[in-house]
Amino acid sequence: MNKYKYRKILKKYEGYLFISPWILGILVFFLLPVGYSIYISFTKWTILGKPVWIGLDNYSEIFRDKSFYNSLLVTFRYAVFAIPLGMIASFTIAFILNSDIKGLSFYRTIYYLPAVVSGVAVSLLWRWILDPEFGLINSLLAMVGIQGPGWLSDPAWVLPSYILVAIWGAGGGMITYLVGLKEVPSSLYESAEIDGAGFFTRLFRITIPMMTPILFYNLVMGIIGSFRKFTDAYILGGAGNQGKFYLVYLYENAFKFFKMGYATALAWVLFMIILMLTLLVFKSSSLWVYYESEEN
Amino acid sequence: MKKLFTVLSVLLTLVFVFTACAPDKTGMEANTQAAKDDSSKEKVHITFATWAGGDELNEFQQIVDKVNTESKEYEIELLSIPADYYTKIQTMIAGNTAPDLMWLSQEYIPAYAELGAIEDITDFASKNTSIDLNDFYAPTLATAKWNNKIYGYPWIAQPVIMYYNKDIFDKEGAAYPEDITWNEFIELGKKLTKDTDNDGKIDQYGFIVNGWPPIHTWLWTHGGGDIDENGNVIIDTPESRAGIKVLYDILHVSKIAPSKALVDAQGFGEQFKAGKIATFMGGAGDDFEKTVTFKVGSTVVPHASEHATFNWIASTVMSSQTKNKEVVQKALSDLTNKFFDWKVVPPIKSKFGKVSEIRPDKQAALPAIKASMEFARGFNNMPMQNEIGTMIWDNLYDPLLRNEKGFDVDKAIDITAEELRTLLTK
Repeated sequence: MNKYKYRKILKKYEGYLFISPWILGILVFFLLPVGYSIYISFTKWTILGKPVWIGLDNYSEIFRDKSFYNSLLVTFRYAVFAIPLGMIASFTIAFILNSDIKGLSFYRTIYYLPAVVSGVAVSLLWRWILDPEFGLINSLLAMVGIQGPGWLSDPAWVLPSYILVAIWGAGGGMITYLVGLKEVPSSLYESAEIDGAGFFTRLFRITIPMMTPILFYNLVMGIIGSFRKFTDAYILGGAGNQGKFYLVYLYENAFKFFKMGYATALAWVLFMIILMLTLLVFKSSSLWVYYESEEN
Repeated sequence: MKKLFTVLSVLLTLVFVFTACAPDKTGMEANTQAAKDDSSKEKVHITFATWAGGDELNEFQQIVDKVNTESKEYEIELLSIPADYYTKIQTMIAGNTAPDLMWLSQEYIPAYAELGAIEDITDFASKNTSIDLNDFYAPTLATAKWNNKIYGYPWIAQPVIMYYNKDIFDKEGAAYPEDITWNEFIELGKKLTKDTDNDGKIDQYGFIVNGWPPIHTWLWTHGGGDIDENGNVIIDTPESRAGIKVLYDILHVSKIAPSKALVDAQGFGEQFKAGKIATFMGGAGDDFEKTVTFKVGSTVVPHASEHATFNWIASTVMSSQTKNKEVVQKALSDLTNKFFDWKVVPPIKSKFGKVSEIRPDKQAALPAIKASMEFARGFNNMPMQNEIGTMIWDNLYDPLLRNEKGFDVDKAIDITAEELRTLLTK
């Protein structure tokens, strides 16, 4: 091979060589495990032994499993409340922090902090905040003469506790809303003001419609995040199985009950549920998401 | 030049990739290990997984150092896993990097044995002259067995005993609850449960329960149980039902214990320590004698047709992946003998005298602990023991504690029994 040809070949493939660590990473640590998990979901695998092929048994078992429906209900109920409330909270924070108030950078940093703190640390912090005897919330309530509830030990208060934690972390979603708010052309507000539009008219007729792509993005991410809830649920728990989210039940099956095959099937069922919900949101987007570029 | 740059870049990339994939051992650690290996030439390297951490780990390390010095055959290295112990152990086993020796709580032994993760040591144990199998309390050793084979040596047993606040009993003029029946216990509880400051609220209770002690305390003392030795579900027998109804009576009829909500709000052990609870069921190793300001008494748990109490037992087992099995078995035996002088309560009868040496504060509790060890037992553990426990908690114990509207004890027992039977026939 002459020098010229060698250089030509090297030139052709050097790009691939540079990205090879990434390709290897995605192959070894993502695609292979994903592919293997499909196989595992059709087996009875206790982790400690070898997988035994059982066909569709795991999947048929899932739909007869009372605990599967319970964990799905817990997760679904949480998603129904936490996603819209979280979005409203994030949007409101972004809306306030988009104005000209003193110490804006400080507030933005403070509100964004929950997004950069480890989930385990946040959960441990909330376990203390929600403690019925020594917790911050009940101590504050006691100061005004109210006996606070057992936040995580009373089944009726478990869901509100988790929603509270979700809203507390709403600052993390604020960034995308803030970017969206900056993108709204000021000319629209100026024209509206000249036409005599008030605050709410500007909010509902200009700001929110212009923000729908951001709302759409956050809705999709919210659905995925809610159904994948694990860290705080694993640490905080919740009485009467009210804290047994889908992934906690999946984890229990995998590592506590030695049913890795069944747990993997649960993971694939979860993937299908999230996929269907996401597709549904995508399908509905033509009805409520406004893209300025499409209009043009 | 360009070619050289390209080759260097590719090499550098490969170095980064492979160093990232290499085992997590820094150069310094590797050197330390090499030095260690050099000093313990010929010795078999044994890894021992433990959930011990903090002070307990330091004490354990001292024992291991002593054993390592005494042995010419092996060198034990401790792997401390204080959190998510079983998840990590199972992942290590699945990855063929199982520790040679490990601690297992009684519930895990049948599952690990059934799945071939731990080694049957029956032959070794029956020939081992340094640990006499007959010296073990029989129900304690039973928790280290599966299908009549021995899979490990129990190293700790913690029977549940009943602690009581002598000051409350003295103040109320009640006799100490020494070896009483459940009926006597309830009557006593009624006497001790009262509003002491006349504010209309009960502020002193006879007893406290929050999921601890295990529901088996009531099942066993009435001659029932959850599952018998042969794997039959017996939680719905008349004896078991009678036991569960006594617990229901304590909580919701005689109301001699605070509600679950109140326990959650004001603490469990904390309330006993605060002097608000007359009797408390705790492990033999609990340190109330050192930590409370009132006089503490201790006795066996109440009985009905039988004397029985739950015994929390853990064993040391050997991985089936281990090489040099003979040497590891020797290490297991040597260490187990040392454990008998370390932990309260030693699971062998001949070492019971050690309890007051190991824990001088338990001197007054010795008669209660000794009597309890005679009838204390573990669960009739099954390979799906964790699922069994979750099922009983979800369907029976937790709803019974809460007694929410519409809760029916018999119905809850029926549902639990049915689910357990379905699980066990799978």
